[in-house]
Amino acid sequence: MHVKTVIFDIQRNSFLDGPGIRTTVFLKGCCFRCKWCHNPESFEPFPQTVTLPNGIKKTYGKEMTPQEVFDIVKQDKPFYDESGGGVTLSGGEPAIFFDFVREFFYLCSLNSIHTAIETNGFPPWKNYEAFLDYTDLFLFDYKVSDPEAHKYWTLVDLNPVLENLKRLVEINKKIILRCPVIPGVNDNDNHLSSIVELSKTYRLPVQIMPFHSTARDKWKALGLVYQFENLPSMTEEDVKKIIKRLKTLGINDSYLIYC
Amino acid sequence: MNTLLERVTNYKDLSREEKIKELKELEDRVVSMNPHHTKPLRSPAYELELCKKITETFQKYSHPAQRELEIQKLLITNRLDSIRSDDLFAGRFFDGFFGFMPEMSGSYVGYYFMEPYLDNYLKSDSVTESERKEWERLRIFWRENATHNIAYRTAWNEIRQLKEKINAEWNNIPEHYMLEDVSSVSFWFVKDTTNRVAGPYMNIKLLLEKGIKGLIDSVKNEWSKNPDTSTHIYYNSLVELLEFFSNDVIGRYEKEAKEKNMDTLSSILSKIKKDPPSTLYEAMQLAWLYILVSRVLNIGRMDVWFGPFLAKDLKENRITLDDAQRLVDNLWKIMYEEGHNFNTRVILGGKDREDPHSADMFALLCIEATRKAKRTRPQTTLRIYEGISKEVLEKAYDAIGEGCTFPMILNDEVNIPAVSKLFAVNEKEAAKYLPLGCGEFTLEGINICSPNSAFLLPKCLEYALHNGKDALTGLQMGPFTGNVEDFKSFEDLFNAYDKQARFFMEIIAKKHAIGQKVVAENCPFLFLSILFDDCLKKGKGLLNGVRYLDGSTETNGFVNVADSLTAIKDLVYEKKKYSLKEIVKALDSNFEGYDALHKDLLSCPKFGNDDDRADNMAVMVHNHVGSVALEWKDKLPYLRRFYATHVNNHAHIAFGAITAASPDGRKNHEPLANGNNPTTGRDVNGTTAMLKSLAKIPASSVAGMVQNMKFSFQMFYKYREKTRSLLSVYFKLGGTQAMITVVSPQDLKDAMEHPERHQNLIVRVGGYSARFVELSRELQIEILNRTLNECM
Repeated sequence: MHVKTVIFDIQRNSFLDGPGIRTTVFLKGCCFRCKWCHNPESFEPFPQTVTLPNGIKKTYGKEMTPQEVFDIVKQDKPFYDESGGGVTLSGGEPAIFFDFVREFFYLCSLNSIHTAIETNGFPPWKNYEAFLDYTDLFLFDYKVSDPEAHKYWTLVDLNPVLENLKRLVEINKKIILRCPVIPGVNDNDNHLSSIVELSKTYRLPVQIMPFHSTARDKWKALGLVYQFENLPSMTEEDVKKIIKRLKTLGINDSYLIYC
Repeated sequence: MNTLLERVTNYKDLSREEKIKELKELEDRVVSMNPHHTKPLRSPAYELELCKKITETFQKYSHPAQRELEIQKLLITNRLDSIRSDDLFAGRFFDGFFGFMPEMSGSYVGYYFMEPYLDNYLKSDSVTESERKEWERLRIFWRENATHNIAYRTAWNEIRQLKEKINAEWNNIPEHYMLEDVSSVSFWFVKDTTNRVAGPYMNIKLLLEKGIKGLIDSVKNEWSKNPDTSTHIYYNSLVELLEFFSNDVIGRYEKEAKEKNMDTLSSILSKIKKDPPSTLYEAMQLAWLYILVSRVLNIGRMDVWFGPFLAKDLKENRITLDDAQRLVDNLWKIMYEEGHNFNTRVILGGKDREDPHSADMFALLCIEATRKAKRTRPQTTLRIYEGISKEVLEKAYDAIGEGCTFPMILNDEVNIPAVSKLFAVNEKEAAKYLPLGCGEFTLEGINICSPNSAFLLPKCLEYALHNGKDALTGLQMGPFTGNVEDFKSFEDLFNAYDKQARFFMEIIAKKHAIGQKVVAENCPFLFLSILFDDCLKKGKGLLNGVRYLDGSTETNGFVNVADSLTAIKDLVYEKKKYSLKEIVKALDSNFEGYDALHKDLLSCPKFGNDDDRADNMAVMVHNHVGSVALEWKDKLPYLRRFYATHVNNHAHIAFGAITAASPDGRKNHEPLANGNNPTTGRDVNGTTAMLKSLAKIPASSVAGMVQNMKFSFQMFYKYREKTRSLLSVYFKLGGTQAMITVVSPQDLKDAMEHPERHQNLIVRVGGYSARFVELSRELQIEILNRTLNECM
């Protein structure tokens, strides 16, 4: 069986998408529509051609089989072995394409390549069941803690996300909580306290993902309205403040992953 | 430069003479950007009397050793510069536009006389008539007798015969050699007629073991053992020269130090006049003075020489580490001020060090000095190996991460076996490998291997595509290797390229050997010969006595050729999308009117992306030029073995300026790929891919390669561990060398102006995908500012 899916980038030498040196594979197609997304080209599951603000024409998305992706990913195996790295599936929401994920992660595990998946936690649990056994690490996004606000900012419910997180914790999967921080949206104590609580309850390491404005070109090129046109990227100082806040709210120091 | 380029690119309207003139101007502009020497030369106004004396002395003595002795005595006495008040070491030197050096300003050798400096000076109204007359007389004499002129003339008289063989149009090669006057346009194999003796690394350890009196005794000892009476003048000159060094160099500075109330320094100088050094300070002072008067431009393995002295001093409580650091810092300052661009190499580390523990102690001081000073000289290099001290390696990465560029890193695990194979020496001798100047290899104390020419591979391909003609000037430069219409297979094209390469390699190798012969006959380089095996044993000067006399050539643009051949193989011979003739037509039009074809060429696989289609071709082209050079081993007197090297300097810009558009998609006059690296910006798959590609290039085919890599500031600071892993894997996979620079705001600015050169810049954010060149200007500026902030 050779399921294809649409891939819009394969980024080698990724330092920020899990432990060690990794290759991040970006799948096109997402069930969320987060208003701050920095990969809006990932929303639709089909290839799209756009003209970027500087005039360059770019096509996002190319259909590939798991084997084709694996052939690229395996090239950096020496680097994974040395640094404790591997491959990370991201996007988009890779858990939608569970057949692809399953086949691809199977190939990776046959070849001793560490597998990680970045997921928003929303797809049905049966999707996750399809590839659980071959997944070493979950980079689990936690974006907005208030259920109504969550519906507003991502267009979907929070509850299924929390339930899937609980299930993953119960079967002892390795998880890192990835928390995008968007000034004015979720940088308040309510959300930060929820992060702390989740971290404590489930003993989860937390990685802060500070907002950066570099996505606005892509929103424009895709003809989408970007709510954060004028919001500048968070600085090192801003991030430090958030970290400090989390510590004050009681997060365990050893659970903080700095990026 | 831009308006010049614009004029030149409107080629079709210019006559052939005008085209040549424009190209020459363009090239000269680019080449003049980087002089070798950095201290201003002594003015002719000051040096007329000295020059007259030197000229008189030159004519007085016929034996090369005696002549050198007498002239060295004159030159050194007159050119030693005084001790500055904040110097901890004695030893500074004025260079003049005439003198005696193994290598001067990249291109002169032996008794040299740089006419362009004189010409400049003579333009001034303050020069009197009688002075003018005297200088003209001297100029005429040295035009005949300067070593570089003799070498150039002798070599070219022989090479011209090759011209007849192929009916080439080399009508404009001048009769005499003058750096700035050689009409270099298209005559790249003439221009770099540098018959120099570049990069000799003396056995300073021997000097420090014996001291001056000990060396004199060694000389006398060998003298008494040598039955050949023709060597007497050589040995005698050595003794006299060492005595001169003791009394008139060390002695001179001893006196000056006393006069300036620098008591510590004067007593050190007094001690080392005859005796071997016993403290670190004494050792450093003796080594520095000897290196200074020998006028070699590169330093050598300081940690090996000075480590044991440091250890002893510390053990016996003579100094503290802080004292030692102060000494190193001070010497670093002096080396910077007295040093020459592209040289002043200090090499640390190495698998073969007998006392790595004490050497590492000293190496840490050197890296610290480098890190603090952050200057372009000395060029600190670290030879790493399995089991190297973690402290030393981390300190090196600290320095690099601060934007130092130094230390450059060499991988002994790969290089020692590679050098052993290439140089045909045993592993013990191979472990003496050191990079000189721009990264070419030589062996310390037993080998001369001077890179005396440039070898332009893209020009060879250009000639192969035009039946031996230069595409920019239309002159017949190389042999007739066939019309492209007749190249039915890729092998046919490669054979033509091979023929061109071999023809020019013959010129280069013969030029090299003849040049070195002239130098050998005229310049024994007495100071150097004392510290080189096997000169004392044989009773011969440097080039006649050294155990291995090899030579090398600096290739340029091998990656452009590889990428060009990949594209041709793919589009012409496999996909059959274009004929070779069409491609040549497109090149000749600088791609104007050939947009689709140009795009196709650009999108063919390129070296640096871990794509075997391109990388295998790069390996092939690399091995090929290495073997073409090696063909000349044992074929010529004064040349044991001949090597290609791929090094890094600014030459790829100058040589790109005289090279026509190439099938890798490069346009007329654009810079060639730098050294061993993917053409700027064409490695789009990221650092791991680039490192894997670089590691595929076999080390044993060439005598030195330089790999430039740019890392972001963050990678050394925030992600040190991961960066360490990256480099560790690169070296394990076969990487030979790493010259690491940190991406600067300048690079990002350049990426905004020339996005095609920075396709590889990836914006690093977690879970995010974008290339810098795809962003709008506003965002690029934002990232630029952020980087600026991080760097401060």
